[in-house]
Amino acid sequence: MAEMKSQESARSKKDGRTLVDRENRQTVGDITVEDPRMTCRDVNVYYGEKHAIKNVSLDIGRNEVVAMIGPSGCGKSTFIRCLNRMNDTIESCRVSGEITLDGKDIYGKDIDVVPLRAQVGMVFQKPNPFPKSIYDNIAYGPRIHGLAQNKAELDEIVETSLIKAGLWEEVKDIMDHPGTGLSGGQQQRLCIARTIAVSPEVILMDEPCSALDPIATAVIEDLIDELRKQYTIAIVTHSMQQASRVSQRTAYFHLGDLIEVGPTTKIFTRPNHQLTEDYITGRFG
Amino acid sequence: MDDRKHIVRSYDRELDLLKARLEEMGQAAEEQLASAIEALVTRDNRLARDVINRDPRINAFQNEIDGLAVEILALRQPMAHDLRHVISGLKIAAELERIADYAANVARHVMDLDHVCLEKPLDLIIRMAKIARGMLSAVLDAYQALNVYRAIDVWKQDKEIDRIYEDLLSRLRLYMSVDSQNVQTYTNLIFVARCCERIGDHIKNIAESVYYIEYGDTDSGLDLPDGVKKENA
Repeated sequence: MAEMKSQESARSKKDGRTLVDRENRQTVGDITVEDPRMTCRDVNVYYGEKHAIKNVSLDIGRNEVVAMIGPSGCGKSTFIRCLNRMNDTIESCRVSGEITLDGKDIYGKDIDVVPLRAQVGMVFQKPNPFPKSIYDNIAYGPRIHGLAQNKAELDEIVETSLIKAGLWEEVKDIMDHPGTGLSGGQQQRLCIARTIAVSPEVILMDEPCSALDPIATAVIEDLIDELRKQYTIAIVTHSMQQASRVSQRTAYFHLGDLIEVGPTTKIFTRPNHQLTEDYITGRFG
Repeated sequence: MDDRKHIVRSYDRELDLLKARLEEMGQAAEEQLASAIEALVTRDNRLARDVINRDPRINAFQNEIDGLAVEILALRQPMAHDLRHVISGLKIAAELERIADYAANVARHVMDLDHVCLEKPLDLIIRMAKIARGMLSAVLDAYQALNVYRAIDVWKQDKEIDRIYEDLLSRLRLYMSVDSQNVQTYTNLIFVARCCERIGDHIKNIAESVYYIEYGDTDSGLDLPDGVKKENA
């Protein structure tokens, strides 16, 4: 009888699925992938006294798009800026933990950040072409990294990069025009071509479409899907629809914690953490 | 639909409206089934006709729910629990519409059976129908409370309907072989029994939808010994 009663009370408490409690900040989901390009372990970031990233561990797999989502100030941009040491430029910023690219610690003493940032390129929220011609925007990186032996090789890099960025057909006859004269969407693809031109392994994108209209956004999203075949991509986005459209894995950040990571389809249809569910269904706050 | 309200209040109102309409439709389908059973038990042709005449109302409910769900999908792009609820809303409305169709079919056959005195098979059919009615009521409660335990209990009860149906078919086959003059009547009884058996299947599908709303799948949880998935497996 007593046993029956305890079963009944267990039932009444658990009418349905139980999500991981909002107070629990342990990462839910598998942070590892079979074939990691970058691995991050126990990464902490401080801006002065502010603890912006808390013990985040995450793999970024080869040829995958991983999306970082979360409310403003959750640390998603801070986290991807660690992946090519962009935070080094902020004086008060301190990074601890281990981040490797193909097994090599990118915060190691022997690492030169200039080639690192070519290997792990970045595309920013607002398109930021150089005040130079379209050609020189692309040629700049290969020139300083010595990637071309002669003009013909440089021309080829420029053309190939623009083709990969889906911009070649639109600009091939105006290569001497200023990059700043292109539309917003074209400028962003120019910046992607500029990143590609220095043969990166990983491309980081920090809200690459937030300044673009829906058509230009669709073009970039299509491009991301194409680029995935050759590169590894980590994208920060405020648009959950964009994360669901372009990524294979999604990581949800909240107040500096990596709350949940998993296959994108799973995160958006049946997340396991209450905070993830709150955020993606718009019940946050 | 959740313990926290949506930031956009009109979105919450739309989700609540979808749920309210589904509950109303469920109640209307339950009334149709109850009336059909009553007509069958009492051989009340007028009540049977009422059931048939009320069927378009159920179809109208389904159209309204389909419209609401499509609107939410197109305008709100629901995610996670909300998404599963809207998708399940479409499926549950379709199941309820079929259940009401079968209730109307039972009512149609009542008029053919008004002179029949075959107590044993009729008793079995009425038993099936009453189990189905109890299941429908329970599954609607399970949906309202999103209680997967109740849904699983309902899902299991369908086996009892199937068992009675098999028993009934054997009996009717035997009757037909020895009493060929009443084949038409026996055939009518088989149709009515078939309706009840199908109603049980559609209720089981609703139970699966309740489970899906909570767990996001229907194929792995129902067979576990306690009927519920390991949390966050």
